[in-house]
Amino acid sequence: MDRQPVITAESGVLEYLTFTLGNEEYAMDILKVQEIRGYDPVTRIANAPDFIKGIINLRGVIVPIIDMRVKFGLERVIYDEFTVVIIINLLGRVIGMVVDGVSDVVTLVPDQIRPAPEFGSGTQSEYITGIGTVNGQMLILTDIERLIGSAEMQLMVTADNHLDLAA
Amino acid sequence: MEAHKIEHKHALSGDWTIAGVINQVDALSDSLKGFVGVQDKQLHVDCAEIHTIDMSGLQLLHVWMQCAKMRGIRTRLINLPETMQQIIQRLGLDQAFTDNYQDA
Amino acid sequence: MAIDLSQFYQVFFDESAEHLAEMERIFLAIDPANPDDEELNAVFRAAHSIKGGAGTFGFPDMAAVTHTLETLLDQVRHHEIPLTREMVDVFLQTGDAIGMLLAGHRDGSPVDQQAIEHVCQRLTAISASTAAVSTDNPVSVPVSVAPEQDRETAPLATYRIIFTPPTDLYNRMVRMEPIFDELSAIGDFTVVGRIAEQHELNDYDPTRCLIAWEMTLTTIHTQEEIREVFMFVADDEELFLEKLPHVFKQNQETATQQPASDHGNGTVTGNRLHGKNGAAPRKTGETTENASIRVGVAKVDQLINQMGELVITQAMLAQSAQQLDPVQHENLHRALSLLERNTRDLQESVMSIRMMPINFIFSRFPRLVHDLADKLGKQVELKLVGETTELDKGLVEKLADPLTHLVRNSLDHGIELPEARIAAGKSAGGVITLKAAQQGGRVVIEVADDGAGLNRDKILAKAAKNGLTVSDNMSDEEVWQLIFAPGFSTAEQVTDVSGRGVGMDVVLRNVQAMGGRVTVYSTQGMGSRVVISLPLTLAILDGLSVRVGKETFIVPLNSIIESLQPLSTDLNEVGRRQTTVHVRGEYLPLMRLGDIFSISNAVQRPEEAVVMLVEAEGEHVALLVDELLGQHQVVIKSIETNYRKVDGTAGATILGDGRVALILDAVDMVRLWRTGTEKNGGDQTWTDSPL
Repeated sequence: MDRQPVITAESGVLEYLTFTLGNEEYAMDILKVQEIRGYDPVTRIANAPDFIKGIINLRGVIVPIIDMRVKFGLERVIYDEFTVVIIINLLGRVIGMVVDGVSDVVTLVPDQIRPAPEFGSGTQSEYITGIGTVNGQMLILTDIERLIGSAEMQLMVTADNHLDLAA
Repeated sequence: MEAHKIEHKHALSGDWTIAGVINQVDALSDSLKGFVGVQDKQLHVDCAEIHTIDMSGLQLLHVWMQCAKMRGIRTRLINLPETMQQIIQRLGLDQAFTDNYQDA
Repeated sequence: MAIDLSQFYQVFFDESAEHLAEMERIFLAIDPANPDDEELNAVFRAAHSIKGGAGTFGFPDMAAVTHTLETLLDQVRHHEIPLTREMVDVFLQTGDAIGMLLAGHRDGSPVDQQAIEHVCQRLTAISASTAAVSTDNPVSVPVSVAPEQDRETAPLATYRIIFTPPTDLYNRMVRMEPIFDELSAIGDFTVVGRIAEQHELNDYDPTRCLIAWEMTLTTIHTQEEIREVFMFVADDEELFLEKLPHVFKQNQETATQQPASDHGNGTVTGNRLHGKNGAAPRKTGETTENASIRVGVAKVDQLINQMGELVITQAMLAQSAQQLDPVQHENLHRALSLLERNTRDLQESVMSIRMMPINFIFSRFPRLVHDLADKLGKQVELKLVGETTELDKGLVEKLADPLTHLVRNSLDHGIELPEARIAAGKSAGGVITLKAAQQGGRVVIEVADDGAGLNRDKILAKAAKNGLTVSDNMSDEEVWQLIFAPGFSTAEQVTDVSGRGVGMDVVLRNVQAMGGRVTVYSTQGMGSRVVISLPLTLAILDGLSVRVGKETFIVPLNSIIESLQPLSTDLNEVGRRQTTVHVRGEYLPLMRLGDIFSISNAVQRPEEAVVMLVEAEGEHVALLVDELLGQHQVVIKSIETNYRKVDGTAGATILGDGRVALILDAVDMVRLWRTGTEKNGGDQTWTDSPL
């Protein structure tokens, strides 16, 4: 199931794709969304962190699939016909992100955005850029690059990674 | 489309060298469109305003004339500048244009 | 109508660099007392070509230097002046000077004007000291055919010349008129241009050349001189030249003066001038020195990608057809079998396009070793072995820097000064050997020297100083590995390669980026060897698919020695969950893929599974898999593009059913397995990672 997101050309207004993880609604920059797919069976990668489900073939390109529900430690993690994967263009890489569902594309004006509250310690909050409100619905605005690209996600190869010194 | 005259004329102008040929292509394909329903299709191609031309321009001209031929349109080059004639000869392309032009 | 020429510079830079390399190669090898005429002609043509391009593209500094060189070379090749050792040295330096100017224009790198001046002076001095003084040709004319009496002339003959230019002729800002004028000046000349058929204006690209020219020329000049007129414009392949059996005497005027409707009958009609895609008829028997065409790398990459897709599609077809009854669908199966063979043939041809002999980079080293050894006061002989070994063009280019660094290392730190060598009982001169060979689906390149070898203590000391954990108990291999740590490079050396990063860590990184490995061997006092092992083909691999649990993996076919189902008598439990298997006279530890990749439902008892005896860089390894599935050609897809390298693997592929399978790398798996074993204290118990 391929549903194409609506890409906007209007300048100065940010459009977000909203998606669901557990009970929360999140929003990410629509321009980074390449496509939306259903969940295809992945090829496992051994010894990878559990939130990295594996890799898939996306029209001839190998793309890793990560499950944010696992990363966030959510209870209900199921894979069925309603499971959605958002294919994201991220810092030159293409990755797929499993979510519980996608909702609408929304346009937010600055009035609708409030700064992110302090969540206390924990790196999890660094990716939150603000809280948006649309029709009384609270959206957690997410810097998707921060969320996925952080070192702990182990997706980017750093200079230390491949020097395999004995010891 | 409006009623057609029997003799269509198309004037070429400007830069027909490698720098300018890309700009010339679009105008050319439009020029072949007005011939629907015309019996004796003839197109006079007025070259007087061609400023500069080189082998890429001549090639384009020839290709265009071939396309016209495919559509049953006979083309005639008229008012060729002296320099253009010379370049055609120096490049050995006179035979390529022989069927299709005459000095006017 | 200002045209930006800079977009066309790159071709000129590339071609000139090639010409310079060719000139250097010839000069290094030439014997001044007895120079080979062909080689003299070749260097002349190279210089001539550079000069022409430099003039056209507006690099008068290059044109000026090359012009003087070219004039001298012209005299030498016509035996008007003798060639001396001194001249060869000056010519070599001139080549360097031109190269420096070229780099200045191309990269903005600094130019030592004094050095250029010096070279020019020396050239002029030679020029003045020789009896013949050449006539000065204006730089703006890119081609010249000198009509001197001394020149070798041929009797009057008529030639048929067919020029089929590449499609980028216009883009290269070539003008044919001066060339035709030139030819008219040296004989009776006619030319007919033919424009290829093109019926669609819609996707017509007017910048692509569709014209081919057929000419006749009656002249006393030689074929070679005729070719020279086209020198900067046509590659050998694009110019077809044949002598006609009889001489045409034209009584008409030449083409430039003919009235439009009347063309000379000196032209030869008849056979179709060119085929659909503009290819000129090939003449058999005529030797061309470098029958090649220039193709953009992007085009070749595209071709390879498309080839890869074709292989996948063919695999999908084969897979679908498997379920069809072979008797009922005999024709289909036969056709598919033929398709597989055709695809394989096509694939080999396509892959071979990008293959280049490694000599392209090896060839820079004689000069480098010669100069650097001189500078260091050492005597070094360079041996090249296997320089015709072919590998992918992309790899060849990326190897240049690492290899240069390794050779410099051998020169700087490996080979000792003559006195030291003699004192150590060795010959005064040392030997550096560059070796390349294809081995089991990989290319192995080696830089070896018979110098002092690595100094274990020094390395340990330096490593300790840099804060690395070391101990005296480390094996030699472990100590050698330390030199790959970042920041380990011995800072004393000042090299030309520096500015791009020096140090073995960079070498390692570059090699790994190519999917390769580096290993160091050394014996103190005797010498060292650095071995680089690279995958042979980047894109397509013959593999055996295997099943472990529910997962499919691909094992490269050329690493498999044998597969078998072991008997209980061949198996031995050694320690907890560590099994050895007796195969082909060896007792090898059994590497269970199910364990390495944490696959829960893999077959446990080896007697019910399959053991694959695999080669991993000289070592034999026994892998345990559940089942062998089949042999396929697979297209290697990169995991690193969007993720990262997965341990134990060398890329992934897409199976016929669209799913992804990992391609196993034996050496990497061994490393993974050994690390895991050590981590578990020699215990082979692995835990499943949570899914």
